Amino acid sequence: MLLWNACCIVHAEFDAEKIKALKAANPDAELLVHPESQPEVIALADVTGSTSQLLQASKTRQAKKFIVATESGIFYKMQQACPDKTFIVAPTKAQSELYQCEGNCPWMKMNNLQNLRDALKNNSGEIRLEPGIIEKALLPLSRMLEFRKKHS
Amino acid sequence: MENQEFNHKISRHLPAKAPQKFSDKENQLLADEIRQLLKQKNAVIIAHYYTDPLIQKLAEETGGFIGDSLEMARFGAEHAAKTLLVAGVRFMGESAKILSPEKTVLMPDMAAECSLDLGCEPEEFKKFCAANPGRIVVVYANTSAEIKALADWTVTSSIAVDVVKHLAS
Repeated sequence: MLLWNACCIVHAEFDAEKIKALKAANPDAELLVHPESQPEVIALADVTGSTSQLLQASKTRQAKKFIVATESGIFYKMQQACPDKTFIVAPTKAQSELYQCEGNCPWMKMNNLQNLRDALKNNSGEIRLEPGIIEKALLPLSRMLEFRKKHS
Repeated sequence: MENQEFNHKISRHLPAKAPQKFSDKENQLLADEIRQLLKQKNAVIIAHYYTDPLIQKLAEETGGFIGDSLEMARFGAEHAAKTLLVAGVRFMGESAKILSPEKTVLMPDMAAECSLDLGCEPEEFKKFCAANPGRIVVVYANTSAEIKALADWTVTSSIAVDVVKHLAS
């Protein structure tokens, strides 16, 4: 298998050493980790999974307390689904002197109610793709959705 | 791409300003206006779990959707609305458009990027594929439409391992 190298700058900041210390201070907490995190962080996880899978785990696991290594926006749904449980954001360490996310995706947080309103009102921010690109990109996306349907 | 080069590229694409904050009153008025516009335009909000809770709440209350990128793509393709308002980052809007080319797909800010997407440039990736012929090309959903157009399969973190196991068997 040949792998391309890139990373999610939000998940890459979750820090294994700081998480170990936080786990030690909260022995009753389980660690939920998104797989875009670093391997050393994944190695510590009680559950590793996509955002939806982590949300599901927060509901089904017996634990009442979780340390969560994914973007902070997920706390809205986790807290809504489990009002009696405690969620702690996993600690981070800057990976570059040029930026620091601390559990928040800078681009996701560009969305707000004002620019949502503006896009709808003015039909602005419309995604336009060349028909040739759409045609070619549809195949791998459809395969993924078909696979999901068959295997869920 | 070397780490330093990657970090410089990332920093060039980061938003110049901190996220804009609004008062409760302003958000209330905006939410009311959006509710009306959604009806008028036969539109639906598809929001990612990582967006501001105010957006997620409004998506829920207006019959829209909150999910990860795989679920967002599926919801957009299956929903009857003419216009999809995608609150997330650009590749999510592109995936919605690819699956529903007949629909209008709108995004609040087209400069909302993803570092995984930025880390995979079409020209470099084309060379990588050309240098390694005869392989099945599996790309992460967090890539541009142009990259997906070069791929055999797309995966998200929820099914990447299952798909690769399936392909290997």
